[in-house]
Amino acid sequence: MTSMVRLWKPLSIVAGLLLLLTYLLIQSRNPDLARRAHMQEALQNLQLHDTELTRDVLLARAGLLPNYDSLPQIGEQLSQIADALRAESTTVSGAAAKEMGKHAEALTAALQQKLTLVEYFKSDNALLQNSLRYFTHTGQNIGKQFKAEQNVAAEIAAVSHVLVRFIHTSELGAGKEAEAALSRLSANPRKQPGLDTLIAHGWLIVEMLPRVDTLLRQIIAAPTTAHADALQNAVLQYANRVEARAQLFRVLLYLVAVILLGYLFYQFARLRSNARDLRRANTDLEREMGERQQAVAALRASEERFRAITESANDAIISADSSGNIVSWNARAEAIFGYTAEEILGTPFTRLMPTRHHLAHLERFRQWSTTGSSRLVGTTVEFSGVRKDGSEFPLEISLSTWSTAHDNYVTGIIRDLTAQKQLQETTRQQKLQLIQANKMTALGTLVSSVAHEINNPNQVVLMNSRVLAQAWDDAVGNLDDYAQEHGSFSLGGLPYSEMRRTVPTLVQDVHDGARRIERIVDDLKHFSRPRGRGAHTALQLNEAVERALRLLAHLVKNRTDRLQVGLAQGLPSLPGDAQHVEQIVVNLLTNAVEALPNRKRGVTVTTSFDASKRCVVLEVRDEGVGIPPEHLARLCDPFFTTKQESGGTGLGLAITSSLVRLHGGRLTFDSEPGKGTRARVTFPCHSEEKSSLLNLSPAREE
Amino acid sequence: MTRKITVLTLGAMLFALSLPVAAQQPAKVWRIGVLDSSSSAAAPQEPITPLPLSVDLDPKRVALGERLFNDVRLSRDNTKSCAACHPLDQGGMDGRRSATSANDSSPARNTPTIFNVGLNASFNWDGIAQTLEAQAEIVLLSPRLMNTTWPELLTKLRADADYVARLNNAYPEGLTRANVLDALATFERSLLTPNARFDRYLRGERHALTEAEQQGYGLFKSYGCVACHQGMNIGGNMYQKFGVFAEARGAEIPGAPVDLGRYAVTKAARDREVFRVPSLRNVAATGPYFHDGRAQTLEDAVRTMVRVQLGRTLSSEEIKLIIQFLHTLTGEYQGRPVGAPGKKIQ
Repeated sequence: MTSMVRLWKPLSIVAGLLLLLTYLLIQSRNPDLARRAHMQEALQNLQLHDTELTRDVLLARAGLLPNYDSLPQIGEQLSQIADALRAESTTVSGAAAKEMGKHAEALTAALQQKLTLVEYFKSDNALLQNSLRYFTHTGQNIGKQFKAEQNVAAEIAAVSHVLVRFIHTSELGAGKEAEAALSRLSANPRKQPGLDTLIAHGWLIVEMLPRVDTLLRQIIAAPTTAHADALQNAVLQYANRVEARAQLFRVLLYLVAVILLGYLFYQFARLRSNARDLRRANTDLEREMGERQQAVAALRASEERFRAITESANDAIISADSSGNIVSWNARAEAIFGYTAEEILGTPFTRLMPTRHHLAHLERFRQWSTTGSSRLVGTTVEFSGVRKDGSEFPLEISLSTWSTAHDNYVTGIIRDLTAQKQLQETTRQQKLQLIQANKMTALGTLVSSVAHEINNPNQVVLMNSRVLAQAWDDAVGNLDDYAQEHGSFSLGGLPYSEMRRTVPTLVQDVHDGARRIERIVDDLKHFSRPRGRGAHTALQLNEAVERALRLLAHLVKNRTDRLQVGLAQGLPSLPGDAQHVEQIVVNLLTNAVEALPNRKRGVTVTTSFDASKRCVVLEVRDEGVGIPPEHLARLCDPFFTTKQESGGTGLGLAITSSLVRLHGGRLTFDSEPGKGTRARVTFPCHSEEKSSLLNLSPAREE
Repeated sequence: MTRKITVLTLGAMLFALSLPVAAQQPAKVWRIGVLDSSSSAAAPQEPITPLPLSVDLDPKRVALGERLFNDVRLSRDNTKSCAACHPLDQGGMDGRRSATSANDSSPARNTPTIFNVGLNASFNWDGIAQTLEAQAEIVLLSPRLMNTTWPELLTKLRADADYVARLNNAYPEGLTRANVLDALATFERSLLTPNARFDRYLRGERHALTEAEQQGYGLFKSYGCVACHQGMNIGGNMYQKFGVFAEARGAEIPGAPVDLGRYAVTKAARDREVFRVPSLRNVAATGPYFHDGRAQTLEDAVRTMVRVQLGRTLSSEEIKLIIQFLHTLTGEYQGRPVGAPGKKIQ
């Protein structure tokens, strides 16, 4: 805009000056030059022809002009020139025109007047010339006719003499004399035709000669020349005025040209200085451009680096603009969320989070985009994300914000915590197991000493209770007799009759309690006893199962009619303690049959080989009452039992579990309450690895 | 760039400054007039000069004028053409004693011949017209003659495609009043009758005239006829009073009004009974004579002229000689002698 103005201003000034120059040029060219020349030429011609006319009139007067043809010709030319001059002067404007017109009119009038006089002159002169010719050629001869009459001849001679004098001098006096002589001759009574003619011509000469000469003088004195001179002066004055004006314009033209030149030099100088500035600016610009190019290169390198980092980053790096649309999306983000960059760019980032968080998040985002700050920025928080397939997963996100000239942006670096969470869970489980194992070890140590301490007094109680029962049996007869004799009496604060019924029960209770203590202590011994050393032999699972079945044949037969056994053939042998494995089977089978509500329900024992995991599998399935889900996790905890009243110690599965672990295997339970439970034991069969495991485990247990 | 512009501008300015100076230069040219010395030659010259053998006129305009000249539509009632009163095969005039004058204020006058009319200085017996065009316009518009009007005439001519085409061809402006008049006048200027025997004599053919005719010419000069009848057209270039030495009246038609001649035009006292001096070319074929046609024969006319204008009395012999001379003035039009052969008075 400014450059246009800067360009147009000098251009318009130069154009204006050029226009002014053109105007002045036109004005200074004296448009009336041609007219002036024309008029002056016409005036010259007019005066020339006027002179010609006068000359021819004089010649005619002298009788030297052969004919009058030239006179009307000249007259016509003069009239034409006069008309032209009149027409010419009317085309001029202003006061000069009036002046010139006046003179032209006067000239035309004078000319017409002169031409009229010339016409008269022609007529009169023709008569005069005729009479003169008569007089000169014929007149003298007439005198000869009157030789006889002397007086007449003398008078004729006198008339001729006077007329000749008059013709030659045109004197007024001679005219008078000629008139007198003619009168005398006319008075002569003698009538002669020749004399009459002579007298008539004489009179005509006397009459015409002054008239012709008067006309001649008038013609010569005609003011045509004066008017022509006046007109010429007027034309010259007009021309001078016009010329003076043109001269003024010429001076102005020169001045404007000088101004234009000066302006152009000024503009040229300005242009030079501008060009210098421009060159300097150009140099600066080039340097700046070089710097900028370097900066751009650096920026590009930085961007490439950033992209490389971003793309190779193990975390998803996502940016969103202030309106919440995603503007940046790296490869890891694609891997984590499942969206490609094409799918996700430009869409709201809320689609990456569970619907239930949308409102809260949008609120926080709005707060950020209006205030520019958020307490989440700069921190790392755990959050939930949603993949393209709709699955939710834990993530860790750290937010940062940045701004360009155009907008504010937020960038989140997102880490998928799924694997980490799983690992944490595993670690927690292992830690729990370790704690359990330590607990068991401590418990075992405690139990073995406590069992020993308890077992001895308990044996006393057991033996003594048996003795006491025997003693009571023995004493009852006597006491009955005593009661019959002495009536009822008080025994131990109660009437005997009541006591007699109660005591055997009491003794039996003591016995049973002692038996129970004995069994618990026995189990505790098994649980905590150091095992396995030296019993590392290759064993066949099927053999252990068959032995256990034989051991429990009675129990099983009491509890169910349906026992199925499916033993896989060709199982690899397992390293371990055959008695331990046998006990595992016994424990599991015992639990299974004890869970059966009636004999209709069956138990299935199977062995198999899992080739994919290279392990041997033992499964014991029952169709019993099942285990409530909340109990499943605690099945193997020591002293956890649901069979307290039926004599369960809560140590069976704890022992089984520790035995299975000892063999490097795993014990798992599936249960559906009311339908049955499946216990599954896997034993790895890599002999060398297992042996090392086996070697390790006892050492840790000790 | 800037330097180039500066140079160009400087050049333009120098050029502009030089222009007024250059424009002034040709103004200094003056036409230097030289007095025509031929007329003042010392050698005596004949007062009569021969007609040119040809005349330089635009043939298209001449042909157009001829057609107009012969066209009856130039009169209001489409009955008369110019040729009606100026039949070119009969001496260029009607041969009647008198006819209607172009000057409405004058009595009836003899129709002058149209031949050589272009050489006259003025027209009509009283010089009412100074140009052929003016004379033609007077005749066209005169109620007593053609009685037409310009709108009427131009409408008639415009209706004729041939006129329009020929006028457009001959004149840039085409069909206009001035061009119609110019065509007529141009044609009239073409009506010259060269090759009269007298002209041949003037051109040096000494034997073109008989001895008697030469004597007649001598008398014509010495008795003063040539004082008025001079020039190429042997008259036609001046005015003269009719009746210088004697009253010209008396021989007129009895009861007819007195024709005051040029007085009707100028109202000047000295122009009473002043008439244009007529041309004597083809005079033998263009009778009757004088403004009122009073003289039926050349002899009548010569006798009247000698008596009234020259104040003389000539013998019959002399008059015969002069008449013989006058017969040598008959020229040719389109290769044929002017006037019907039977009319020639030998």
